[in-house]
Amino acid sequence: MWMYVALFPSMQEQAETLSEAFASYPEGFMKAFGVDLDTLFLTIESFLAAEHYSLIWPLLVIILGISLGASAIAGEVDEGTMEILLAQPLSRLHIFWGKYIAGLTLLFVFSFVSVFSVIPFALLHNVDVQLANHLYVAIVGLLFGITIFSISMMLSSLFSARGRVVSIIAGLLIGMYALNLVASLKESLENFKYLSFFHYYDSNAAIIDSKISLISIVVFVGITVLCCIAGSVIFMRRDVAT
Amino acid sequence: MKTIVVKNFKKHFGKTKAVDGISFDVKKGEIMGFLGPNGAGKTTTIRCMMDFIRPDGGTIEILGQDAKEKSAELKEEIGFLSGEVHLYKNWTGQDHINLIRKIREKKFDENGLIEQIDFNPHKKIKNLSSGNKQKLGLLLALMHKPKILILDEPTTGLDPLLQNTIYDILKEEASKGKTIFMSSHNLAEVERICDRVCIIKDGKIVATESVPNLKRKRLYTVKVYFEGKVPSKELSSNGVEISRELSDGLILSVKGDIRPVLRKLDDYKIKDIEITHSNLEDLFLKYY
Repeated sequence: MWMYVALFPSMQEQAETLSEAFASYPEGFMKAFGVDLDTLFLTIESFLAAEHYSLIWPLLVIILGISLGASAIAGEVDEGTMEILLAQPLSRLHIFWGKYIAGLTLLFVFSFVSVFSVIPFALLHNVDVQLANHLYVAIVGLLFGITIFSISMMLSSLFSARGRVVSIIAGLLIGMYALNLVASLKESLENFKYLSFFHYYDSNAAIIDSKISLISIVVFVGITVLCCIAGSVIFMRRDVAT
Repeated sequence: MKTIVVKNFKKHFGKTKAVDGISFDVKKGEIMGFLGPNGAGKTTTIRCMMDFIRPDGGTIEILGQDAKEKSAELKEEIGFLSGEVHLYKNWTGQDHINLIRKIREKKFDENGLIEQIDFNPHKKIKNLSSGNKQKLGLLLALMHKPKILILDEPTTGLDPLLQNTIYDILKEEASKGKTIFMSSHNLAEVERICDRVCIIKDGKIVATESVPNLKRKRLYTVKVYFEGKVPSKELSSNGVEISRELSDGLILSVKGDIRPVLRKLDDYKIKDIEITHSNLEDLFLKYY
């Protein structure tokens, strides 16, 4: 984040030259990565949308969500340490929700600290920042991360090996990313985007236009709720063999 | 009063019947041994008692309550120790103690126990030997002063000194009125500390015996080498079989009390003698 904010003023000065350079890239390619040349160097928000929130930041959120979920239950069963918890006067539901809330807290802290770290850097480099826009991207990013974490927790409740959980959800997300990419490049396949979380994680709309679509909220919250219910029921009922 | 009641308990894993309809009970204040060879169903039974896995049939009741339905409440009164303790590698023993303290919301003074078992709680788990990990496991099982101890082969892989320490602790706990249910495949261990023994083989209970009864079924192999004539006919008697005759000695199989055989052997000039206890497999082969 510091690097992006520090570079922005000088990049803004050379906006015209840089735009000419980027103009040689295919339009579809630019669209796939959320790069709009008309607004790219206009504000720090549009710059971050293209440079940070299109790939790097969601990737960090994905890694965090998957690793937290996979280690919460499957990881502990794998290591054998789940016995320590199961031997205590705690219900299975208590264990599941305790781990879920712990993971949620970490995701929350990561999202807001990483997004709002723009403030001190912007002050340092005299860059104007629209805080409300950053709040929106933090929210949409957090919803995206919570959904991935919830799916990871559900799979973690089902399986006894951390690696299995990671590979399944990583495969799922890679597939979704590819679907979203293909949908943006080929008009006939446009509807595939609705099957991808990356379509609903509209960081551009959030950070540039201060918008989160209702459908994104519904999809993320809906999947989160379903996975939480499924995960807790699975963990309550299964044999835990360490 | 019966602390643990198992009735017609069944558990399968796919097509394999790990436990096939077993029933037994454990009285209050008793040390009950659960003896059987590897794969007999001991760990499966214990894991169902602890609600780690669920029965496919029958019931398990602890303190009059269903072990699955009232699992969380029952664990207030249960201390559990596994033969292979799994701990958080980057934590210290004290971190584990603090975790249990927080979960159980009780104040414990574990210092007496720490001193008794000679354990350093400030080392990280990854730097502890298996014996010290087992000590921590025992500490975590005992620190909240449970009414019941459920132990799954608690002395496996430990040196004799530590095994003796654990036996002494268990006897001390039993003398305070605690009920102890302990699985083992070590006959000598069970004979040493248990009041009664429940014997399981291939998922079925084959016998429930008092320890004195079990001792009467002891088998010994005695290899004895004589100076001079080998007295085969004189030594063969009730409970003593000659397994093999050697050029200068005999290999005897002795059932029950070995003292009469030793007294008879005292009448002869002996060059060398070797006595070994039967193992569990021999016991099962002979009696069950």
